[in-house]
Amino acid sequence: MTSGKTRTYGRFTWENKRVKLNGSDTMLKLHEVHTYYGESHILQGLTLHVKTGECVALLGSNGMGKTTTLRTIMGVAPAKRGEVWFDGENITRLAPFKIARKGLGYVPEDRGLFERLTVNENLRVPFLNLRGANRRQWTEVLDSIVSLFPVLGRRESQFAGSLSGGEQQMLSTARALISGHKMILLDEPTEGLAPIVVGDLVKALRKLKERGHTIVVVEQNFKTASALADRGYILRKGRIYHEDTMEHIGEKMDLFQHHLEQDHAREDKAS
Amino acid sequence: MKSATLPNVNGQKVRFSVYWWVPLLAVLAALPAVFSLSGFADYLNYVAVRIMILALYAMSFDIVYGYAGMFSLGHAAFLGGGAYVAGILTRQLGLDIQDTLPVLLAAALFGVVLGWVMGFLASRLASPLAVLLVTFAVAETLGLFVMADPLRITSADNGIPGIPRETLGWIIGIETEVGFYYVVLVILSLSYVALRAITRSPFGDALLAIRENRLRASFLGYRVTHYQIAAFMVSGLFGSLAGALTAFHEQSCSPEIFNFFVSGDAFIYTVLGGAGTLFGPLLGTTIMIVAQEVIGDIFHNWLFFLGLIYIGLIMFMPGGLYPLILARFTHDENSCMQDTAPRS
Amino acid sequence: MNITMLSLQTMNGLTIAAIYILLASGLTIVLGMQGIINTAHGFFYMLGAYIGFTLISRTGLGFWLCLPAAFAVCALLGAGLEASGIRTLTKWNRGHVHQVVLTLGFAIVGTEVVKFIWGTVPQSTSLPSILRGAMVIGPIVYPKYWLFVIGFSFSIMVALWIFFNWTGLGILVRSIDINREASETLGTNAPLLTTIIFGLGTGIAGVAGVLAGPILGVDPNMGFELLMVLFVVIILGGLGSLMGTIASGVLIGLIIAYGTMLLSGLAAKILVFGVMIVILIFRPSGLLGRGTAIE
Repeated sequence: MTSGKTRTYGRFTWENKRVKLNGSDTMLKLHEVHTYYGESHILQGLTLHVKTGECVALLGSNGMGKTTTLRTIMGVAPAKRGEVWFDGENITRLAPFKIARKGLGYVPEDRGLFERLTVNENLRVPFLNLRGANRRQWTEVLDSIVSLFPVLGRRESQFAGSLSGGEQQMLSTARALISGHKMILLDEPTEGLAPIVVGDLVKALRKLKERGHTIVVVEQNFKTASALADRGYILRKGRIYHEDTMEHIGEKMDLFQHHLEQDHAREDKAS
Repeated sequence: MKSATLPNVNGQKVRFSVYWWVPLLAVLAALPAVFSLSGFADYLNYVAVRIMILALYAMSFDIVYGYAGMFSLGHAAFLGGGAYVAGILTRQLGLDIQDTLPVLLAAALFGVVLGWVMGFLASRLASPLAVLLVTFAVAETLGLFVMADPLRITSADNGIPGIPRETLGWIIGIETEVGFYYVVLVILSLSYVALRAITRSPFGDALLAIRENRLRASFLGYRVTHYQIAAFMVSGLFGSLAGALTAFHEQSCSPEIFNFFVSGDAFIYTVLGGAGTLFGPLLGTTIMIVAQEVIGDIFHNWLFFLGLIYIGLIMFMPGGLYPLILARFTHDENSCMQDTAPRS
Repeated sequence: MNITMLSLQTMNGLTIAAIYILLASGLTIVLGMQGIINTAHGFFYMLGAYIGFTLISRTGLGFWLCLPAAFAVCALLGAGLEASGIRTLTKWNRGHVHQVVLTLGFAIVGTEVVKFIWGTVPQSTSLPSILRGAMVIGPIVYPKYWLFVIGFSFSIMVALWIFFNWTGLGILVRSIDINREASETLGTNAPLLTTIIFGLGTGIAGVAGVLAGPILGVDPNMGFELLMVLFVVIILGGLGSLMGTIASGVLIGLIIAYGTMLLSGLAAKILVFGVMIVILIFRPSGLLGRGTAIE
């Protein structure tokens, strides 16, 4: 368990690498996870792991359970069977807010911004939930966020709903970083963004990675994914279909594409 | 998928077929004779008639709530409206109407018109909360109107006493409790058959589709607002009919009938029995009225228990009794808890 | 009708409005921000009035101690109701109708308990000596207590406004209102905050009850009668908007005061419901305030 000292959140720990971990070098582990939405069985025994400081991509076509995987980790769509371990603790049955307070950040696909709050207030939400956070540390946190996403500094007192798509994505990511000082989960961060904005975002995320942050990213675009991730999992029908480094996946991409397309063809026929 | 499985509870043909109805009707027909054996036949008759009338009222509520999926907290407007139509026509206008039949028809017509008004207002609102409030406001406004009595026809908060009850259709005598009992029984049975036909018709299917997903139903080409208004009109017809019957039963009517507890009663009767079924409201009304009479007699405090029933029902049995009983009867594990009640 | 009469009625309307606003603010933060319809709100108002009545008339405790006492009792009871019942309904994804029925059931049971303890005879609360008597402003003489109620209600509203807009807790509450799931994934303990806000709302209702006691009297049905007027106020003001609630509370209070003076008490009520129907049909998001639509 976390000792008293590990709660030095105030120093915005991910930046100066003062993240206190519970010893193991595996940050996240999913073991035989089954998740249901009502009657539909989405995750059917998913097993994966993420090492500390690593960036892992979840690949695969739509409806294969990538988003559900993130939602299960976060506790929003809790697993019915199987276990989720985060930084040496079993978080399978925890409420989402408790998981978040353990240092896990989540950027949902719809970005989940509080449109009627300002950028500043949006960032304060996760900060206020850190235990022992005080006003002095807030300026530090804000500074380091602005150093990573300069545009947010200029928009600080604007309503989140009035930001452009790219700015919204950055705000959502920045917000997740404050609560997720150990690790963040990104769901389709580049979806619907202009190429130039994608470039900016990827740059910021790479910077994060260099600082030693652990990242799990769901990405449709293989090129973006391989620019970020070290390792990738390909999901197929709620299970891990293949796991490899991004280079190797890239080399064999044609083969996977072929398999996955066959899947689709079969499904189309069935339906 | 969901919408396809939902009508099952009342749609499956095995259930409560004619083999059940014939003995049930026979028992109901024999009840006055049974009552007459006891020392307080009039009282038992009175309660039985009350149950049947309010069951009709609850079924009319179920059309709007259980089938069309709109929560009306103003259903007392129909009951009270019908009662006051009866009271005004027979007592206040100097028309000297001796027969109840034209009065019942007039009340039903009034219910249809009021149903159109409520349906029109409710169908314009997407939110269940807004529907709840607007229907409540209509009932409350009617109640206040009756109390304020600007037209000098509702005799303000005194209510209308001495509503005559002599014949139905100039032939059938309904002065006695027993005579009235049979008339109400026939009206209830005919209404049940009519409502059953309505809910099993394509119109009923459309209502269920709208209840499950308003947007999807509109994509399927249903004119959602038309159906919602129609549901309220059907409901109003039977609700006001029940109201007029109440007036003839009590032989009086008073502004309390617009009280929102009366609207709440419709909900409790329906949900206790099982919303989205027609037998459910019958069952629920019977249980609740009997409970009210018994508990009221023993503890002299019915409201306290009513409140407990509200809480218990919503926390522990929101699906109602009838679906549970059906599940027992048919041993059908899957269809039993298809939760016939709307979710909103 | 002369100017003194008119201004007296205006003040009367504003005093009623002050109580409505106080009550409606409790309702609107619970409904507008947490999406819970609390039909037991009127019950807490009535309970507060009885607590005030008892503490003032039966014990030596003064008026000033009743206010926090009523707040504490009603807030704890409200929080208990939320945590034991409504939270479960939310977890089961039940809709507004179920909340209405649950809270209504609670209110009915509670009202019966109150009747059992205090009886059904209407009572009236006496005032502390400082607030007795009248105050002369120019040609017009107002009861001091009316002015006190207006001032008190106004300061509570200011405090609430500061709480929601300037404090960290307020930001968290608003974030839950906008996107509950997102807020939870950022570490907000949403269930706890909902309970707290619910308790805050019912506590304010209790305080409003104490304040209303000396003016409107204390009887077991005072809550139910008022509840729907409160819904009119909060919908008119736009759900969740404190500013809108103030404006619409004043409007409704004045409609009732002038309506009662010019027509009759019943006519004034009909007017209020008429306003509500028209508003719901043409501007379901409310006339004033930013207007969170009723979803």
